[in-house]
Amino acid sequence: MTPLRATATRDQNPSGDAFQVERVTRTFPGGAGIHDIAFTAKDRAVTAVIGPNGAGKTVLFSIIAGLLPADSGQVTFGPGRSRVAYCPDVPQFEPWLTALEVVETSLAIAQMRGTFTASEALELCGLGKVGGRRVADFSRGMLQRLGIAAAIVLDPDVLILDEPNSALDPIGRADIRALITEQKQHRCIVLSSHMLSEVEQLADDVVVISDGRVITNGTTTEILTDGLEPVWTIRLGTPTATTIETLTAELPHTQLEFVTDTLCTARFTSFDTAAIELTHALTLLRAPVIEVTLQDRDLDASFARIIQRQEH
Amino acid sequence: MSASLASARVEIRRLTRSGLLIGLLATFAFVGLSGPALALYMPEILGTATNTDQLIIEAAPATPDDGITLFNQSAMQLGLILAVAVAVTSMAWDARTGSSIYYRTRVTHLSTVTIPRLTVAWIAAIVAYSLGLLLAVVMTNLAIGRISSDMVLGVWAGSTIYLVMTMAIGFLVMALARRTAPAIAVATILALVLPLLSQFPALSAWTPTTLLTGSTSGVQHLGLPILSALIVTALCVGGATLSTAKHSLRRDA
Repeated sequence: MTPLRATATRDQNPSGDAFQVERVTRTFPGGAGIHDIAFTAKDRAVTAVIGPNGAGKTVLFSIIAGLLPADSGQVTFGPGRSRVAYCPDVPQFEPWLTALEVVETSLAIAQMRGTFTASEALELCGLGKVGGRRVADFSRGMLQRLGIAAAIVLDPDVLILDEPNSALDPIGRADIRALITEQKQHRCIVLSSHMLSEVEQLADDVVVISDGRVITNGTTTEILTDGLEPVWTIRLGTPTATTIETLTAELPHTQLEFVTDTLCTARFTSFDTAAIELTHALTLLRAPVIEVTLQDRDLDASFARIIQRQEH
Repeated sequence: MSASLASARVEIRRLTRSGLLIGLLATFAFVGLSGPALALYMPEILGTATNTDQLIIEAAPATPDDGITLFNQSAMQLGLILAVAVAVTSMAWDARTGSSIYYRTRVTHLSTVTIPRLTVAWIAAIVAYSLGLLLAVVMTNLAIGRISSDMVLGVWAGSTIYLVMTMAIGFLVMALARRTAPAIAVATILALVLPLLSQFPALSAWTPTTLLTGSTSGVQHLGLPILSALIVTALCVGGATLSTAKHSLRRDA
């Protein structure tokens, strides 16, 4: 059972790792499950676990939260950091309770005294005005917010959020993003999401899993640049006045390709070469530069690249 | 507030806000009024329904015992099914992954959630049954005749203990099945079939089902069945507690 009742506080260990997942394996009949999963989640940081549907994210979260036993391996929490709160992707509550009662009951049955009151937790999650409403009337987005409120009211050391944005509208997503960014100053947050642009904005570290195994993990920057090629897309305001022959002669290590008159790609032999030649190329183009972007530099592309590489 | 009290409060809210408490009270109240009335008018009902020129059925005038017996028969069918459903649904939270996570990640021992909720369900069923019996006693006294307090006490003790036991059986079935509808179905069938056990002379002295058939003869004859019902109840609650603690999340919910 999740040791939510641990009494140690974070102040006893103000920095370091929140927990370590050490070669955790859990298999189910039919072969599904997770195998040899290992990573470390830092305190006061967001660790995102991403992967295709059925990769094993929820199983992993259930094991970290103490809801499922592992067949082998273990999850080791940092000293005084064993309080885990888990908000599932589809939080469910007894429909005859009000939102305030759900959060109050959360505190009461866990025998905890958090840093917030139930009302404050609801306010923080944007549900301050509907605290007296029955949960039966709540939309899925409101239930997700309520799940987060019922979790953070416990002041956990580790807060697990399984797809916290999946049912939210863009404004709701921005609110939850802001809430997660604020909350990571107080605790370790582990989340999963298929909205990788959200993950990119929120996560300090990323663990990529597929078929129940860790494919790669590292900081978000490392994952974003993993397998990335030094190819930039350059959008010009007007067509370039420089001929392709001149450009080729002046930039021997750069392969320039014009998609249209005002859009071209610049492929360099390495990122080091790019650091030197990109500015030179922009100068040579002799046209207003509207946009220069590193191609495929987003988590969606990185994720696709990593998964494809794994499949091959 | 302790975890147990908080859980009990959730169950009280469930019963009052979902209409289950009203349902329990109304069902037992209805059979409390209809049982003695049925006993009183049984001769007329039988006469109207079956008499022909060739066949005449004459029923003896109703006795006070008949009023209570007819009440208890209905209460231990309709009311019992509802009471078992209340006990089973007190654990419905564990059949849904989201609510199961809510409780399972917050308590060290799940019995601090399950036992208080079952206790509240027991109390609600006993109160509703007692109200129904009270109405049946008043109706019988007014319309048929005076009944002995010994008999009323015997019926009350036997039936409430039987209710508690069958609700505990429902609780165990739910803990094992973790699916609300099948659990209600299985528990109801068990509750309705169990009284057949007292038809076997070798078993009737101690089977809990004797609580229903023998309770009209007074509480002093119910020692063995009460003991066995309490043992069955304790085993069911213990088994359900162990089973709930042993289970992890339902992955197919």
